[in-house]
Amino acid sequence: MFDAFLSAAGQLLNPVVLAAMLLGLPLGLVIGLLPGLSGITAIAFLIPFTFGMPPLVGLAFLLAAYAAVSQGGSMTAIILGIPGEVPNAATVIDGYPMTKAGRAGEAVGAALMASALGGLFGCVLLAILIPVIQPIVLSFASPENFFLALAGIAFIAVLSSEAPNKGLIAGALGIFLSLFGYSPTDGVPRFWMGVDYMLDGFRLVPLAMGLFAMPEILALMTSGRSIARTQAMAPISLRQVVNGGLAVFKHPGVFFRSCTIGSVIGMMPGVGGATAPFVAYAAAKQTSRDPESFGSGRIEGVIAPEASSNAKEGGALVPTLALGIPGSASMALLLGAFIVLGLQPGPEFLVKHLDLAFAAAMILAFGNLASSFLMFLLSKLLIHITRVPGHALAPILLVLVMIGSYSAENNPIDVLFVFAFGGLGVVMERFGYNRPALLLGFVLGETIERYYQVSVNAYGAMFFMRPISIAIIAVTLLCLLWPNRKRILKYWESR
Amino acid sequence: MKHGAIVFPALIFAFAATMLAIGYLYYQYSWTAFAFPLAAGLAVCALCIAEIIAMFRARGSEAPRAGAPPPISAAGAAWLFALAAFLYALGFVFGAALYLLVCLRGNGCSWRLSAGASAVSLIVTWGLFIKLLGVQLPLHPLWMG
Repeated sequence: MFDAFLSAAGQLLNPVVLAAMLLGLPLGLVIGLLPGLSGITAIAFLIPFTFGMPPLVGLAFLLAAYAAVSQGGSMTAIILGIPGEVPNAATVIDGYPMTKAGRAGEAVGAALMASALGGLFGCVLLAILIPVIQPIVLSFASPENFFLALAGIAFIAVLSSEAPNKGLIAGALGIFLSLFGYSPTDGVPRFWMGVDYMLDGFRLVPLAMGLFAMPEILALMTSGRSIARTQAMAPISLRQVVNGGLAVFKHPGVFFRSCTIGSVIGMMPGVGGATAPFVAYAAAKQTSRDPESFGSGRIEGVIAPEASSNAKEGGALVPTLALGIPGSASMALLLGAFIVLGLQPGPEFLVKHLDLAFAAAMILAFGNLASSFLMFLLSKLLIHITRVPGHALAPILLVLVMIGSYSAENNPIDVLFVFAFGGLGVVMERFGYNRPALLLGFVLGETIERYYQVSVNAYGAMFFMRPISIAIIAVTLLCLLWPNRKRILKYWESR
Repeated sequence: MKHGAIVFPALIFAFAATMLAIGYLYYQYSWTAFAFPLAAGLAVCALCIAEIIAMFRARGSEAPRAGAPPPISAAGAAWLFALAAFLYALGFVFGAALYLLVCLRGNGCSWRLSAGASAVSLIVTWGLFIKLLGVQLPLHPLWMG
């Protein structure tokens, strides 16, 4: 095994492989900075360029770009309040208030450091776990995946700072909206109203763009003010960015807990990485001495989702490589890319190509560190965007959002739905409903339904009695009830 | 208490209930296809009813929410929706560029900034998206099909 590790390290020093990584990094950063274009889109765009490349060169190109995309998404989430992709929505909750308060540099620094170190954590874990992971991952069947996805939704109530019921309404509505279109089990089109577009249901990109980007753009257009309020503007310097980066080391508990959450969730086949940043955020909030202040610009609220988001990528590669089962939607596409490159991930992959598996972990680690460094260099320039007057910035952002939404599926109807979901986002924001909760419910809804159907068919109505399922349910209940224990005890005593 | 605060969950309730009724009465979905949406829809309805009841009970006692967003101006919303008209009339490449020119000028930005943003938009849509990334952004007006 050590030989395979050394062989992988040696192959990565090949100039062609290094050049492929250095080419993938800026492409990934640019794609990440464009709202609506996610890691999935990046891989989809870049796969055609890998035709004819040797497997390792193609992998280096794709994985380096993939690692860089999420950095770009974090920047737009913090600076503009627009998540580059779904997992970045959790970063908006505290990152954007920090920008509004003139602490953008700090938030960016914390996000970059947490992302880089979180990615490194995930990759080291991947390298350690590759040889021993098979029996653990195989013990998670559809009931466990069902409860894990449900646990992700259950944390919505925790995320909803002011009104848990509103958070639950948003989450349940998200699940309900995700069930429009073809049923995953029997292919029946549901609630399609005779409109062909609705046969595939509502789309994720218009929903995400509408919910998050449109309310911010409308606010900028209406007020005409810059994102960072002038009275709160502190001089933005690289020192601020460095201070933000150092904040990660002041909160080691938040960092390591978030990395572990990200890696573990990333490893669960099919659960989807979108859950990880939200669960990590909820955990950071629950364990904080001052949970009420989350959502108003707490730096832990940036560190937790960013660390877990990048740590999960290493974790998600584990089932993809070891079992041939993708750990997330992006990994499903990456699985396709492996096949295009002539590789067949699965149990035999680790026997035949252990060096490539180690190389993939190293490329991802390098990609995370290098893209963080690149973003660090660009951050001072990007932060100037927050000083642009709202009425000048809003139309430019709107055009970018519309093009990003259109290019996800090349469908002009998506643009109309951005406006429709934008209206929903504006109303939700005004009445204090949790927009990330709706998005998370939408992302996980179809997965939950699929695992539920498979669980019932395979294990019957008592599928929840499996030991690991019971453990997941118990941990979820404990996490949800623990912060409210005093209120529950008081209610119990009053009876 | 604002009426909108009650109207919004009521609208969500009406939407979910209508969809479930259509699924049950008009499409007559099988139990396999309908069970999960039914459970999710009923959960939405139940939560909305609970929220509405809670609002009626708490009438007059709630404090205003901190950090409430500023009021929406009709002009700001109109500028936003104008982009849809530009894209429909002129396509994504030229429509977006002309929208930026008109919108930025209309909001008091200089000719230099407006024309510059418009030119950059052409470069991004044509150069980056169509040529480099291979995204098939519509060059022709959308009304031409």
